[in-house]
Amino acid sequence: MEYSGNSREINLTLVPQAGAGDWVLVHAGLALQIIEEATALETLALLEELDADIG
Amino acid sequence: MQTSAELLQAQRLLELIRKRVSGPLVIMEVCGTHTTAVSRYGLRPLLEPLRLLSGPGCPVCVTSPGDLERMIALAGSDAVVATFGDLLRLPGSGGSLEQAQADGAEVRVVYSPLDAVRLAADKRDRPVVFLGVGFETTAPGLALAVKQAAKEGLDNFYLYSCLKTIVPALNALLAGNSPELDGMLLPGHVSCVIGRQAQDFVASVHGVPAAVAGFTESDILLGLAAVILMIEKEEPGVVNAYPRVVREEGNVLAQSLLSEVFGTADAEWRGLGSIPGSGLTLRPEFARHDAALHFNLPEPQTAQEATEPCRCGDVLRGAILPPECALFAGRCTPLSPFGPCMVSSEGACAAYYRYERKKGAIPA
Ligand code: SF4
Repeated sequence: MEYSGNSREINLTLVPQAGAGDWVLVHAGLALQIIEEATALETLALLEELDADIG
Repeated sequence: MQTSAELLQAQRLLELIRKRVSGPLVIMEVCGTHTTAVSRYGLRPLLEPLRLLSGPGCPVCVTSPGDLERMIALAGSDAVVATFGDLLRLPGSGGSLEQAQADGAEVRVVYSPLDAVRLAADKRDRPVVFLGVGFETTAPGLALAVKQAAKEGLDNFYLYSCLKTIVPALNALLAGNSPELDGMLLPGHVSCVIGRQAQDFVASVHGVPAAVAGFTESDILLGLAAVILMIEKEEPGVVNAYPRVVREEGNVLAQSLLSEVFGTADAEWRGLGSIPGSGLTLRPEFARHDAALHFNLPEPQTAQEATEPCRCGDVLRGAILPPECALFAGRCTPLSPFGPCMVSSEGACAAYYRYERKKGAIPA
């Protein structure tokens, strides 16, 4: 597991579905969730859902 | 580092918010990491007249004076004490862990709770106590550590649990209804474990619109924009503005691990008092690893806080902002801190001291 350019041992017990190349959110050495990189568009879509006249 | 696309998005969101906010709105950023990020990005002056208040989401800060006293007593025993670094300088009535260390106590800073289990395996003749301070983000790692120690038969490994859960605290804060809040920004990393839906009560029971938010500038602004649009439409809900890592149901494996290892108990919070069901304590199956049962610890001292000049309790309730404390940046600085909010990297006083003091927004 690489972390900001350094390799570190990360415990994957709680995200067994994580595979090589996945990004994970790590807290104190323990992976808590797989990061699904939302695009800027997806994020803005959330706001559009709430508000029609954005942008 | 921010990409130019992110900067552009942050700018658009900021414009949207500024266009919508004409009167004074009060939104609480519950999480200490949000407080620090908001200060670092310099968002507070840009968002006016919107007021952002800090909340109880800094685990080191909400640790009660009584718990701190007991942790220092543990360091003074024959045990090796293992902890995350944030706790070291926390000032209590009987000094700090750092002072205990200078006086000869063996206090080890570890990166992960499993490091403390390894320490116990190396030092079979000494008790090793991990000081467990944190919320649902930290608790799963401690649950794994305790299970590992039990599996390896390491009877010399103990947990002193000051672990707390955020949902009962939010409930207590909102039911007390002080201060008057128009909206809430909910903690991203706690939500990654407990899920968005576990926090629906903020809107459905208390009528306060809220958003789960991440920690980049656009993440925070997106969360705020979502809250502001709900306020405007008078349709309170709990929106997931951090879908990259927060799922509806959270991390189910982590939740079942927590209920396997921990039961709930009432817990004492600095600033909020005792909150029913907000503490995590080891289940009877793991009693032999429970430091609270094996060490002779001082009884909790009540009403200790009221006499302290430090106003961390008020800061953690959102009753005041750090500069309103008479000691802020004068007698209380990160080099000589009076209270936990100036010590912890997630503490509101530390964030204001570091990022907002020189900008003229706040009298030093
Ligand atoms: S400025 Fe210092 S004394 Fe005042 S509330 Fe913050 S930590 Fe406590």
